[in-house]
Amino acid sequence: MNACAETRERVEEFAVDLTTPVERRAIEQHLGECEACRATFHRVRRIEETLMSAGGVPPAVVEAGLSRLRVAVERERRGRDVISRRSVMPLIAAASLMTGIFVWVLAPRVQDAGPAKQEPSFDERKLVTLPEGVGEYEVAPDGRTVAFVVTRDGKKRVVVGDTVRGPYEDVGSLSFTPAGVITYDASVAAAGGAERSVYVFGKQEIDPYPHLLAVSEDGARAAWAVVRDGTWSVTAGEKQYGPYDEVADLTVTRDGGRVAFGARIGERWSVFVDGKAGPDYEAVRTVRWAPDGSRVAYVGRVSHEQGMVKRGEERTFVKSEKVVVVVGDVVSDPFDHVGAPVFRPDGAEVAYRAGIGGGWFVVSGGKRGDEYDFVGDPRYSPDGKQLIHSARLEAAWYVVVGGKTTSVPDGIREIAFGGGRVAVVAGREDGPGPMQVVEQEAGSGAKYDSIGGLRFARFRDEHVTVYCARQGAWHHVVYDQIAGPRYREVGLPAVSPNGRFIAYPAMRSGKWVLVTGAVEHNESENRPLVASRNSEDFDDVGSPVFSADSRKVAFPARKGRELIWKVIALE
Amino acid sequence: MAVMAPDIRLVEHAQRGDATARDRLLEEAYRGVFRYHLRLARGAMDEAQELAHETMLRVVRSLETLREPTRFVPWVLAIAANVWRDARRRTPDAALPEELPAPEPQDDADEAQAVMHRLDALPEPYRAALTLRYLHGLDYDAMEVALGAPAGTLRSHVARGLKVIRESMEKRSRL
Repeated sequence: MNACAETRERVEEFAVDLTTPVERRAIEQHLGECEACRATFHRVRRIEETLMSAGGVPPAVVEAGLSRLRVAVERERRGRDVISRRSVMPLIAAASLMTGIFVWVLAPRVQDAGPAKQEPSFDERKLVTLPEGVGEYEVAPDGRTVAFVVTRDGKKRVVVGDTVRGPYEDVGSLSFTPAGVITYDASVAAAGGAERSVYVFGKQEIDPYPHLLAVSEDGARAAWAVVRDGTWSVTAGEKQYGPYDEVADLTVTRDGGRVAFGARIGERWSVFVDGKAGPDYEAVRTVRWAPDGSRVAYVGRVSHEQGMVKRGEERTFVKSEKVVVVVGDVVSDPFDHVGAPVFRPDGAEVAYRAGIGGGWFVVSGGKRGDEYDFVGDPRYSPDGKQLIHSARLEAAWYVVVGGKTTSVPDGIREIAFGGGRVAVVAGREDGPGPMQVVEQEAGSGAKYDSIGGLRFARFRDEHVTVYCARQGAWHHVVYDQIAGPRYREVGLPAVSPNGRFIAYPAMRSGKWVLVTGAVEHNESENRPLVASRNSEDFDDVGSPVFSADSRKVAFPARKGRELIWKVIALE
Repeated sequence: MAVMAPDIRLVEHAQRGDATARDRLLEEAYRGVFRYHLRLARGAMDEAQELAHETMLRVVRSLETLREPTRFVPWVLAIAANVWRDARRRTPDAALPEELPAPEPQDDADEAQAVMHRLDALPEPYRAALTLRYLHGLDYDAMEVALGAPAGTLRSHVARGLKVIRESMEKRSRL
């Protein structure tokens, strides 16, 4: 190969420094002598420069994405979002995002989309024949109402039961809340051929798209904050609050009857409870309601400093602040850092993580716990008897339950309580590293590529872990640390009230089934054993719900364009 | 250069539960994450939005587990790469060819558009490496973290991707 051919062949490797020093010198020398090869090298540099200056994103797209993200983060923060395959098991079933697989909520014994409460139906029946070319569709948790998106004359409409909403330019994220309220994002035509986003919550079309959204525990009521012409306002039921210069941490009581949020007027922030301002601070954050809705807890910043300071010969930028925790009318001593306060389920006590200097600790009931290099936000067990948090000390991670530490291999991603026991999903997100379920005293389960939906299920007098796990391209439901059959996808498992059955949607060979598992006691190993059985094949299967007597399981399913409410009798 | 490099203090404050810092962090990171997915999804805006949304939710959920705030950018892009891999698990690109096929010449309005079309036509590993190297301005150490591949391999992907684009651009200029 002559020098020109050699240079042309390797000019990109030269550009990204993949050549040896000897090769580099030879190419440099040739580029100095050959105009044609120099032009080739400059073309490579121009491509690099073009790529570096590329990647502009339309601001409207970013703003729309951020608005949606803020709402989703707020929902997650409250932990009261609709449970779905998509939202709860993103690691397990992320592929469903791409295929438009519909999402059904896993929220048994909840209400219809209408005002009347209804128990889920356990009569098998056809729900609806979906029109040709239908987009997203959803079945309400009780199996009585169907919602779907149709396109007519280039416009999209949302059919909910026997009502039609729209027209819209686009519709997404169709979902029912546990209370059966339909929610979705929509784009509507605006002046000048533009589009703007709105959010639909039941019969309410929130326009403009809310920057903040808070939903009651049953998903029946919502409050939201919007920005119009740079001014913020909050709507909760019939009431409107504002104007404010900024609003943050919008939150409602469990029943949605009361609303609290941080709002800035001028340079000062206050927490507003039902529109009434509390004391003002430099900043407020992490507003939380007591379970009974009687008072709020939040973090207030009392001072902060930032600027350049001289340390030895070097000047360093430093920023520090002093923050307090406010619980009702009681204000804590100042800390350097504070996490989100959390009420004990009986509302009598508040816990939070705090830091002074380089040390972190958990404060509960006004008392400090042990100090670590870092601690995670604490949580109370449902009975309020245990306080749990993650902690890091000298690069090692621990889960701390009632002051007792258990080593875990990495950060903590999920925590579950059951029957006085605690289990966590340990693992980190930043790479293909493994995750595993670690149970205090019971030890660690197998390692998987990803794990989601950890919970405890009761079987006889025991509480055992149930979760979904992915290993490579295969997904399993893992019961008491034993992996069930492998599928291409699985949905979250439901457990019957008597603990004798589990059920979950699963996909294999492009078809969906409902897997029902009968849990038996294995005498020889003295542990539960699950005998699994697949239903007939469907094109899609939604989340199942068990009858109160554990004798039937019902679930939405689709064959072609036929949507049915399927019921299986259990033996 | 299109780099999302938030103030380290912002990351630390967000990790400590400061909701305002977290929201600002999300705003700063979202644009870069969206751009990454937009290129990986070959310009499909809706798909990129869904993937960016999913990525950012994972970032929020696991922010606490980030141990080196200085590595925030590659950490976020590693999550983005995981989200992309998960989404593509069932429809992976074909195995890497030894010789990359040159994209078909197109009637692009300008040179920049022509380069971007050719970037979008590259197989995924090359597309990902070029996107992080140039659109995000990451160095090869950070790319190792984000893509989970050795720096030498990534340099090779960048070089081969550039070569395909350059040769295709040369064909275009001869048309």
